Amino acid sequence: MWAQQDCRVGQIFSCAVAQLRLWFMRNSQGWQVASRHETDAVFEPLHEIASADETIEWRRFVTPQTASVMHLIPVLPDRPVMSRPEARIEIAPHHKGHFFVTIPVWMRLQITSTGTQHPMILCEYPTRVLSKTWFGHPAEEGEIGYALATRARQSLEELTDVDGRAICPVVVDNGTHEPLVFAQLQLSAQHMSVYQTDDGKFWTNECRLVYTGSVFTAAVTFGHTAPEQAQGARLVSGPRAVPTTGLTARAIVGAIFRQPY
Amino acid sequence: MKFDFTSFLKVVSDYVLPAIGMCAWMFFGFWVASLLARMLYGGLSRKLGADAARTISKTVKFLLIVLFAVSLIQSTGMDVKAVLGAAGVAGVAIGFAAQTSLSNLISGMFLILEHPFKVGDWIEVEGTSGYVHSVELLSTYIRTFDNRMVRIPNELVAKSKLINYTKYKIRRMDLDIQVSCKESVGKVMQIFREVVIANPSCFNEPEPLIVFKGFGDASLIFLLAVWTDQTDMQGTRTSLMKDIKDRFDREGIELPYQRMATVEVSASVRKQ
Repeated sequence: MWAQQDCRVGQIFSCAVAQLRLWFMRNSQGWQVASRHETDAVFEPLHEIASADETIEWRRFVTPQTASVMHLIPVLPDRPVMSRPEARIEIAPHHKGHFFVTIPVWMRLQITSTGTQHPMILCEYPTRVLSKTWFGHPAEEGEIGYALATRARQSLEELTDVDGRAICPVVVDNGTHEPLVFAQLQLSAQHMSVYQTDDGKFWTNECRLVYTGSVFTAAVTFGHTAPEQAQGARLVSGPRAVPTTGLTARAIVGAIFRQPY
Repeated sequence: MKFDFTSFLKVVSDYVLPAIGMCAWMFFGFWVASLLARMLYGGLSRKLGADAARTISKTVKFLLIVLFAVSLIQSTGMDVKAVLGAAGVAGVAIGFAAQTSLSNLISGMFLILEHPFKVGDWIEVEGTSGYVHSVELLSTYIRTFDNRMVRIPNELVAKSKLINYTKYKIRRMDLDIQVSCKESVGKVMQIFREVVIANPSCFNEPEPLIVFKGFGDASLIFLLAVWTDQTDMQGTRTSLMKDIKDRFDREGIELPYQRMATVEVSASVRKQ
């Protein structure tokens, strides 16, 4: 379903990725897009249909007449995501813990004209409806993000439901002399890219959190290429916001992991 | 009659030229004060907000004009102390007459320094609730939800209890929900947990609070407190209440209603 489709005027296409069911068609002045979030996750490849459900509400976009190619691109959420490990985890001093978090991707609808590479983004939809959550103290500086329904795992084999999700390798580096106990990971999804391997799986660049003893904060860095577990993966979409040199200072908000007390 | 050119020149040099000079000095003073006020406004508006910056820059402009006026009086050779003394007496008289305005002005300055709200915030003062439209020298303007403009003197704003509903990004929404006495407390609380988890507008953290508060006349009373984006309070309340009602209907959870038991006493019992 993550493909590009050249459309004639009047053609209607549909696909389903997890909870997102999507329709789009090209009209005489541009494009129409409709979506609906279902309760259960379903996966249907992109296919042409004769007519769409009459109950759906179309969003209309006026675009150049030559923009006839629709691209369905996976991107990461627009806010930080929070995940908990399966159980309370303790990392020994000067030791690293490796985890894997699966982040539901969003579907970006992007159009281009035949023969050109100048894309126009129409809209985006989350493939899974995530609950919102708050990072920080209720009365202090903080950020609204998404709470992941899946847990952070310590091995790739433990990941069972990866369809429609990007696998994010996380390295938590305990740079202190004391054990590091944490119960929650917050990741800046808007600073990460999406890669795809030949088997169709999505990956993000590696996220490294280095805890140096500051209370509830960590320095965060992102890898610049696909993670080592996804060698040869191709870049599918870049970060929404490029991490700046100030990301370390914003680690208080951007990427924290909290101790349970 | 012969025109006395010498006298004319004397009049011009003794009166006209000094008057022109004084006027020019005052115009210059106004121009300098306006320029400095604009620069001050530009510099402060980013840090303190447009309203606070406007109030401060207007005050500074006023003070600069007063300074220019005092220097002008000095340049004429008049005794500034005498003038200020007279002005002081007049000021006291004016002060008594304008103490309300002065109080509002001073309260406005304190509000700027304390900064309990900014333009656009939803606040409640003395029973008036709405969005802050502007903060002026003497008063604060609030636009109510039904689009009325309410002017509240700054003195009243400063000395009243003020509630700022939009100070923080998130707020807790408390719902008191009652169900019929015959229902199971544990089952109802479990339903609340599942409904809140399934509702994306309800934040996972801070964690929602579900409390069995006690017994009503014919009901069990629960408190369901969820955190949500303060810009989406109404939408969250509507969706959450709808989800709860739908779930109650599916599970057969009864809402409470007043029951009345009637007891029929037989005639023989009444006689006894």
